[in-house]
Amino acid sequence: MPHSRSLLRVARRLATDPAVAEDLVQETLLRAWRSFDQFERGTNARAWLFRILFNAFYAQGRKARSSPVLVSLDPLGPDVPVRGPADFSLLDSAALSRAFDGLSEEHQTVLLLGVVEGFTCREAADILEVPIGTVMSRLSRARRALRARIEAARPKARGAACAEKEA
Amino acid sequence: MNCTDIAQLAPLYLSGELDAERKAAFAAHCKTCPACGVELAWRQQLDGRLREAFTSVTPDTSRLDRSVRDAIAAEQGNALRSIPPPVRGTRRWVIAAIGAAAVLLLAGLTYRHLLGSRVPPVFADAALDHQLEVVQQQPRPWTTQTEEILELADKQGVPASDVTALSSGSYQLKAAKLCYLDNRVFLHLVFADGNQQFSIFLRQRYDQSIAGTPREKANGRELYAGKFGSDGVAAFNTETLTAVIVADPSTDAALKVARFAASKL
Repeated sequence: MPHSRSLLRVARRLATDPAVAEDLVQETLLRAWRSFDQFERGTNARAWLFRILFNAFYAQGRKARSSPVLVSLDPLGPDVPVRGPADFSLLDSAALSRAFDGLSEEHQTVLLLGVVEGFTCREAADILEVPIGTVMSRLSRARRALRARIEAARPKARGAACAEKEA
Repeated sequence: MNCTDIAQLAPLYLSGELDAERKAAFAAHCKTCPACGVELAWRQQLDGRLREAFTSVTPDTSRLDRSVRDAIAAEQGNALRSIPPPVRGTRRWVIAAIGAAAVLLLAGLTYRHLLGSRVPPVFADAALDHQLEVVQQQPRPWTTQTEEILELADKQGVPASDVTALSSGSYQLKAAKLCYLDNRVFLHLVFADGNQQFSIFLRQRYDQSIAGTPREKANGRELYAGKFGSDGVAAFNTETLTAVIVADPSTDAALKVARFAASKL
């Protein structure tokens, strides 16, 4: 099925239970098939499918998400100032994934669409049905929040490694 | 452009949405302003790392694709009136999966009984490919030079002479690429007939029968056909090839092309 892989990749992040994520994508593709006549020819079919995916996700009142939704009161959230150089080249995927999982749903969503899936801000705004300025500001905050989480986890990892050596 | 502009426009720069003039101004400022340069660099590196980490593993969607195709096939046969909304939760998911399997099995048997066969996945995939790639013109790496198309066909075991034979009369070969239908590689050929475009998918014949009951015969080939979404789909086997044709808006349109193709292959 066209785009089922990228839909499933995003759905697995939205709904952490893999079976529920498959459900969500199946529902998305069936809805798309049933309403194909509503698709505007010449527009972006991939973005249209993702809009259906998010509508399905939101229609379920986010019940699909098995873990609690984090809100922006998170102390490592958007307002933590992170500036200056950083090196992520040695950051392993598991650590990055853990940091990502700690972000709010809003931040995860814009990073998945705008960075991982390569949608433009305009396309992400259409998918999420929000103004483009909202996507831009969320993306900026999401990147800062992700960096803050990565950096907050680093000293712990170094401390754990030292403790192991000392033991 | 000042540092405040840079902070505001960074998301558009990173997504490639700035026009040429603003893009150049943005890059020029970041080159001369160390603070903005550093800010841009870590964002670019983080984006690249995130993309790499999340896309390095391709999820297996074979089971999902099959279940969607089955559900669509069942709906196509009017055997399944509606797909029940999925039940959430792991335990409920198992119960729902068993229930859905039973419904689909029942639907499949009913459909098989009514029509003699189920809508083959190859029809569904061909129709969706045609819609997205030809009708909607989603960007794809098409080959448009005739010599390259013939070479591509040859590599797939489709004789170049067959492709040439199809491009005759009012049918003009426009483009080609490889694609997957029902997990098999097909050569996707796009032809134009006046303002109409249609797709012919070719591959070396495979043993699995295309569909249950042939609609008609042309040049000794049994032609199978059906409607899928807004497209008509037809298919037939020769001694060496399997051909699937998608044309909108009707089964008759697909059959018309299939008759022509059967006479040439």
